[in-house]
Amino acid sequence: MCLIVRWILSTVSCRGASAGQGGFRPARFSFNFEGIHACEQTFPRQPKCDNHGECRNGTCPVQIVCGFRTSHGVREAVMQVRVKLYASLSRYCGKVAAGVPFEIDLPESAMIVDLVNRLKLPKEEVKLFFVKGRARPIDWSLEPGDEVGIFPLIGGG
Amino acid sequence: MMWILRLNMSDRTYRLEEVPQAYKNLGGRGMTSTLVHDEVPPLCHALGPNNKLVFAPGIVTGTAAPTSARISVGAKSPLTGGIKESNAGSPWAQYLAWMQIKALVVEGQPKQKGKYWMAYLTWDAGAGRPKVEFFPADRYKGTDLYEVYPNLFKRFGKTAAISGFGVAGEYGYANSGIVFNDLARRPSRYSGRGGLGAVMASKGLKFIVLDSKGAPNLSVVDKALFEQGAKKLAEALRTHDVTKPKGGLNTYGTAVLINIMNEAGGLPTRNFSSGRFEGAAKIAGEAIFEGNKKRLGKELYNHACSPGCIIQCSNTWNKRNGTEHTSCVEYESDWALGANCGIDNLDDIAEMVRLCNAYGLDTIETGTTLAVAMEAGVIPFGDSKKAIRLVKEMGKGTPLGRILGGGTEFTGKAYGLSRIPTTKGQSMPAYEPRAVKGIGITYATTTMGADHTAGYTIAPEIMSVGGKADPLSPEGKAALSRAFQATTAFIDSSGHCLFIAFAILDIPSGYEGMVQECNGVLGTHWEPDDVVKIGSEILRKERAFNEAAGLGKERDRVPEFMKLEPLPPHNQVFDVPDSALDSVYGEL
Repeated sequence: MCLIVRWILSTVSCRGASAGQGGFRPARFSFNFEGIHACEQTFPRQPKCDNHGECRNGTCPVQIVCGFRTSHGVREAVMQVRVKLYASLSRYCGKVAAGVPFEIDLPESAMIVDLVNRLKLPKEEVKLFFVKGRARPIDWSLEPGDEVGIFPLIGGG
Repeated sequence: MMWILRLNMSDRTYRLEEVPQAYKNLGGRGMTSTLVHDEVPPLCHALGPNNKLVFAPGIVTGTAAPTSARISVGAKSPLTGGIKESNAGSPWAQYLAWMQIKALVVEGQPKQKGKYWMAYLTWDAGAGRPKVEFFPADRYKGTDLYEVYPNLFKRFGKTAAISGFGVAGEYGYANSGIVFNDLARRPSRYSGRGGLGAVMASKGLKFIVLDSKGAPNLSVVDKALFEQGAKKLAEALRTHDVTKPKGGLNTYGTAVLINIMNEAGGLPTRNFSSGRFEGAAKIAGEAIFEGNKKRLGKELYNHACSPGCIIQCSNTWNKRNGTEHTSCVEYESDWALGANCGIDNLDDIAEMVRLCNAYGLDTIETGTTLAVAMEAGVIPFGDSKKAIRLVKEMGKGTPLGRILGGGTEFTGKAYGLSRIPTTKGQSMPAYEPRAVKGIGITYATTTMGADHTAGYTIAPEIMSVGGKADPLSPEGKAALSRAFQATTAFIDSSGHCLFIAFAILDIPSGYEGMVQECNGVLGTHWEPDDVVKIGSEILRKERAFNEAAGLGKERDRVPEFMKLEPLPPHNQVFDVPDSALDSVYGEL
């Protein structure tokens, strides 16, 4: 039976996760519940929270950092990929610093372009995609557990 | 009238010669390499009286051409034993051009070893030519360049421009650069590679101070054509995402490459033992931008190292109290003293950059040498405080400091290592040949010793600029490297910063603009297709010098460990066949 739920497609992060003890740590949350309308909420403490210092009285203040958006969907086959945004793209991801990884749920067989759309990254700005360290085109199909690095056009030397 | 100015340091006299017809269309690297090829005996000792040190502004340097205040410095290198050209951006370059000097050649050697003089070049309006005065400079010996430069500007005025070397040159280190002031009069813009500081020191010429007041500026044969070209190039630089104002380079500096090279698995880490550094994000250009923002309470965009630059990629790193720590933390410096040493502390990396500038050391060679010392167990990988202490030993000239000052290969040999990342004696910069095959071919074959700027195939292999190429594949890379090496030799001669390549490789009108600028200045009729041909001629001269100096194709190889040890994360070895390496110059 399909359970129609209102679910947050994006990954959310604990506030301050980028400055936790031991340096940069991946911020990782996925939520699946109904009735979320606001961008910033206090959610029940999640077992996977890695920023316990921020958690008080059984709740964990979190901020949705990548997207602030909700969607309707059928939660069926879902895969998780790890994403890192670099250079000017990091400004589209709230407080997560450039190069700090976060995880995101995507439908299985999603392509890089789906990820770009999900994160609402401006298409004219995203130029380079790395999947597991290899440059890939925007129509590349992702697999569960892939690490994806997204860059604008950059140069130096 | 354009001049070749010769300073004879044997008797501290000078001579002005009219530029011979055969040299009239040369500039920058084309000029330095031709003069070294024509006048320096290839088998001479690099620090002996027969070597010559040549300074040459580029063809369009001194004009309003954008991003063109480059000075090339050439000589036989004490690090590689071959020909060397290393260029920097500085007002000094423009001043030389404005004084109608197409090449400044430092020759001879004083009989008294360890004594230093400085040359003061001004414009003699009455005679309509430059003049030179020599002053004693022993009082500046053994001094931190950050202390000396303000004193020299006080003495010669704020309109002066100064080049020189630090204690690294005085000690005769093969790791010693020649410094030029930036626009804020910092001693921070370096012709760093190849030990040119020691060559200048061997001539007893501590500083060359220029004041171009009253000089007539550079003459341009076809002004309209020049302006048309300059406009096209400026437009390309202003619109390309990499080079435009508030674009990648202006915002994050060259260190924006740390993350992408790490992502591609090609960021050499802990003495070239891995292609990924777990601390990359902490030292990347983005971290520098955010760190400055936090410490200053505002966004800080980068500045120009030299006049007339549109790209403006030179950064500063600020201390916690908001005062400047150092400028500039380039990608190469950041990587060499950071990832390659396992160090992820930006403050300590900045301190080492500052010390390198103060002593006159090349940051790349310094970082790669520290990493070799770490591999040898002199200090642990990642210990930034001890790394700073080692740089200070180099500055003091202690026995250990002198071993380190000899460079990466020298240090590796002193400690009996086999993982020594050098070709022709010069250490590899911040791109791993096993993860990016084209740049490995450039490292192996360039006349300069391992040098990324000599043929920057990273543009298509990593950045998708100027085409696209798979970095892990060796296919077609010899031809790619050859084309990049030849084009680069032209750009290095034009007087433009190599970074214009990002824009002109993607925007044809910018490329055309660069050629038109040169035609406008010289009165030549070069076509865009001539760029590779002219660049190839320069490479042939350099190659001929190297072969006569004993650096033939047998030396066009990467170190053996790169063929034997697979590099994580891609677990690749350097699998380019020797025949492909030989074809780079064999088919030039």
